[in-house]
Amino acid sequence: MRTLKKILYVEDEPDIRKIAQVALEDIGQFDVKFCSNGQEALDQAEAFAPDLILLDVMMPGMDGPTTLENLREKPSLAETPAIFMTAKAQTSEIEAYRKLGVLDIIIKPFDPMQLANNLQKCWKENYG
Amino acid sequence: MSMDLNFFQLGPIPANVMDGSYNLGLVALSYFIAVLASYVALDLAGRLRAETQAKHKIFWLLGGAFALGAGIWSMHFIGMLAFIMPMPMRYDFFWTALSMVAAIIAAGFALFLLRNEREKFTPLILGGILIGLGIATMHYMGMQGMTSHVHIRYLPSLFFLSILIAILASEAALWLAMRSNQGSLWRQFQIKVGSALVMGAAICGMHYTGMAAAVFTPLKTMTADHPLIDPFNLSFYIAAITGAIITIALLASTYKQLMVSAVQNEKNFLNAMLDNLEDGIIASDAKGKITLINRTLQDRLNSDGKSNFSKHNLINYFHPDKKDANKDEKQNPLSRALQGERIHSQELLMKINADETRDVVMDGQPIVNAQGKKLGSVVVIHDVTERLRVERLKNEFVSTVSHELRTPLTSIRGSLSLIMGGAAGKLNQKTKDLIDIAHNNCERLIRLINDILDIEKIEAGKMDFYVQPAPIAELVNNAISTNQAFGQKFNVKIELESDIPDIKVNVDKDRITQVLTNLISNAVKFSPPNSAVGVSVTKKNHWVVVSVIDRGKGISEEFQHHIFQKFAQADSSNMRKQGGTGLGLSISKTIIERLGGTLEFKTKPEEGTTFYFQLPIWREADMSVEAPKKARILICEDDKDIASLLSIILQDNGFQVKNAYSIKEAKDLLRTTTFDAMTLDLILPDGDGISLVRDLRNNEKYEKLPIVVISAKLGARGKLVNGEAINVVDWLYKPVDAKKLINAIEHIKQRIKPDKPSILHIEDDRDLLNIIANMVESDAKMKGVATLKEAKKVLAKEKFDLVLLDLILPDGSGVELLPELARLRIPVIVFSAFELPKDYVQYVTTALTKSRTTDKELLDAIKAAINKIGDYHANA
Repeated sequence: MRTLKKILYVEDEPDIRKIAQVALEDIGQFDVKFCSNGQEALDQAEAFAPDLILLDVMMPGMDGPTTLENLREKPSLAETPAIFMTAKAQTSEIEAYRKLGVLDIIIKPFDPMQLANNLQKCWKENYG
Repeated sequence: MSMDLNFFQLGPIPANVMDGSYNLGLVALSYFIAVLASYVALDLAGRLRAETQAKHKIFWLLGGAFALGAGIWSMHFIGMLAFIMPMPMRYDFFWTALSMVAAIIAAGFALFLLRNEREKFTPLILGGILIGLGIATMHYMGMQGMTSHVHIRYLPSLFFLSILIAILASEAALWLAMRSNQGSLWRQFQIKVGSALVMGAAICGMHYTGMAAAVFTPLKTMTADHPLIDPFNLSFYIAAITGAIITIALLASTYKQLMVSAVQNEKNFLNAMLDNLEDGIIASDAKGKITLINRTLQDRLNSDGKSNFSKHNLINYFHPDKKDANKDEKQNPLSRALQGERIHSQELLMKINADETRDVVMDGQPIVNAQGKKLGSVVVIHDVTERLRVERLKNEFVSTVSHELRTPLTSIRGSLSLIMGGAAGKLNQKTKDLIDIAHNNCERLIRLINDILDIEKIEAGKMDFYVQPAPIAELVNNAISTNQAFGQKFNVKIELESDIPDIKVNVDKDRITQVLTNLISNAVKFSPPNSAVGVSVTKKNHWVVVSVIDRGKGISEEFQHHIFQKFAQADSSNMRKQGGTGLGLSISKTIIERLGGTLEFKTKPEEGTTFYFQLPIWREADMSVEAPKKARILICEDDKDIASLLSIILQDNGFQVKNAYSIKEAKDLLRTTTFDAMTLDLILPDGDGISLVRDLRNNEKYEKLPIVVISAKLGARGKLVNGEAINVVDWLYKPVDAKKLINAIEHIKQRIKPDKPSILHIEDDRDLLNIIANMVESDAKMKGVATLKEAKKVLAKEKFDLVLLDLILPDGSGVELLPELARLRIPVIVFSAFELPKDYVQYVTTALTKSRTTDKELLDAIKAAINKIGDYHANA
């Protein structure tokens, strides 16, 4: 069984990053690399070698799906599981994201108290 | 009355012959009267022919007959007045009157022959002869009126010439008159005047030739059998009759003016209406030829309004999708609509030119008259470009707003929830209370955004459902446990009142959870503290009923009516107190209805309220396929070793087998037992396997029996190649290769899968054809046709187990098919917007009315009919 330890977190909104930091590092005890945009993620991802990538969808410059696509081109990240976090919550939009081959989609606003738990649950379902 | 039998003057002209002379003024007047009468008669004849209503035809016929008959009569007697004899003239009343009657009858009969629009040769010829003879009869009868005081003999040559002139000129006038319905009004008038002049000449020519044929000799005494008319009085009669003719002419002409202007007004109005519509209109005739394109569409297509669009180039403006070319012009929806197919809300692209494309929605309908005859089609092109653009903008806006609202809320809610969870250390009570308030209101804002998005989706018809069978127990239990925490805040417990039956419902789990959460949280909010909200699940026939019961104050009577309306709460202060959005029940009701159920409530003041929804129970049986019985295979093989080898291989593959070692045995077995397939050796002790195959193919029962030929004779197949379709599944050569045999058997297995029943659906609404075909896909093979004609064609060619029939079809009524279907013993379900006429009920298994039938009822009716067919096959 693979354990979920290292998470690459890409989110442009600093406030949400801050909340996620508490939720993932303090509560979830994960090892998290925070990136504020797609390019930063592309630059740092390989060196960090995450178990899971958490991606915001709507970001200025490179959006979540494009970032994921570019990450996937790096051989070491081609198979790394990813989860989208989005405030675009319409059914059609969610369906479109799901088709991009992600483990799950977390709808914002999310509950930071439960975030780590939910990630672990999802991880268990797929890799437990 | 004494009739002089010596009508003709055959001998020499007697010496006492009286000569007369003519008053030229009166001769000219006689011609004028003849022309006038002819004109009126021809005009009325034209009306007569154009009139479509039989009861109106009689007026035109009578008017025309009177005008012509009486006109000829007037002309005759003016002609007589113009004839000056060396003695005073008197006219016998009887003959004078009779001559007019004869003329009217002849004219009436001629018009009767010509009454119909079709120009047939024979009636035309006959009509001319009749009018000619009528004129002549009238003339000579009128002459008879003078025999009271003169003796008249006729010169045969001139007598017959006069009749010939009458006939020929009448023919000519009629030929002209037949053309007087065509061309412009002015042209019609000219033709009519021309023919009236010719006809006038015919009447006068006949008259004056007839007069020339007459040899008058004085009678010794006056012999009057009847009252006599003085010429002076006669002129009054003539004037009165001429006046009557002119009156008829004036009436007819006024009437015509009124008609023409009424028709013209109506036409102008219709054209203006079509041109002022915002939708494009295309109409075609019964052959599919385009007869009208309204100005709106012409303007849209940048036409100058005069150019004619051919069907081909019009169709090329419309494309079902973004691809450039129409692959098949006949498949183009516009082309199909112009051919009389009914098309509903078909979305198309209208490509005006390289730069401009409009989104349009097309509707096509056949135009059918009261008798059910197809006159053509009408197509409406509705431009939705703007609507789609607005819709896209709105979607983008909603999506963006939702996103922009959620992003800050994510931060607020996240922070609050982390603080409340103790991530930032312990809080004092006051801070905790304040954070609670902030958190609750934040939650409420999130719910409000979600509900508004849902409402928006519902209103746009875009709420998507991912429907799958799910156990109701799981859904209800989950909803209860997730809402317990919410209940605790209000000191309200949520309790399951009884065991949940083991039932599945076909629903979108998330949506049902949303409804349950809404109902339970409402119940909690309106329950008094320390009470319980009850949830019960019960089975009622084919439905499962889920109830959520509170012990609250009940719903006031005036509020009950708008409880499902948006933003409806008993009073607005309540809304804030209870933290609801006022949208939940409206959304819940829509969700349940979309899943095929109903959501209702019952309430008693001070006792509580129960909201309950019912959903159809999903039945496993709907999807199951019966395990096929073991198929039986006949092995026809004379070599015992090979036969037993084949038996083993086949039995191992799950077949029952029987062995036949000769053709005779095979035939006996085939007669007594039903087989699903057979293997066949070609060389058998009592004959040739091929001849057995031929025999079987000629037998209805075994026409389609799958046969695997197993032969040692490599060339045998060659004997059959010449187009002989004995249709065997496979040819195997000895020694038998087990693998190939099993392969062949796999083929057989596929062949003998129980056939799905086949249903013919006769319905001109293509969408409905598709919907129903999808509905019964797993249970039956559907074939859809849109017209009676197609239906008859496929019924003649294919066998069907059930017919689903619409009554209103583009080429007639579905009931026409019922007797034939009864003869073919095909059960029929009528599914139509109209009720089935009582006389036809006997032919029909079930009759359903479209507006009153749910999809489910229709499906049930089809399934019931299919099951009956199944029983029938099983018993057969």
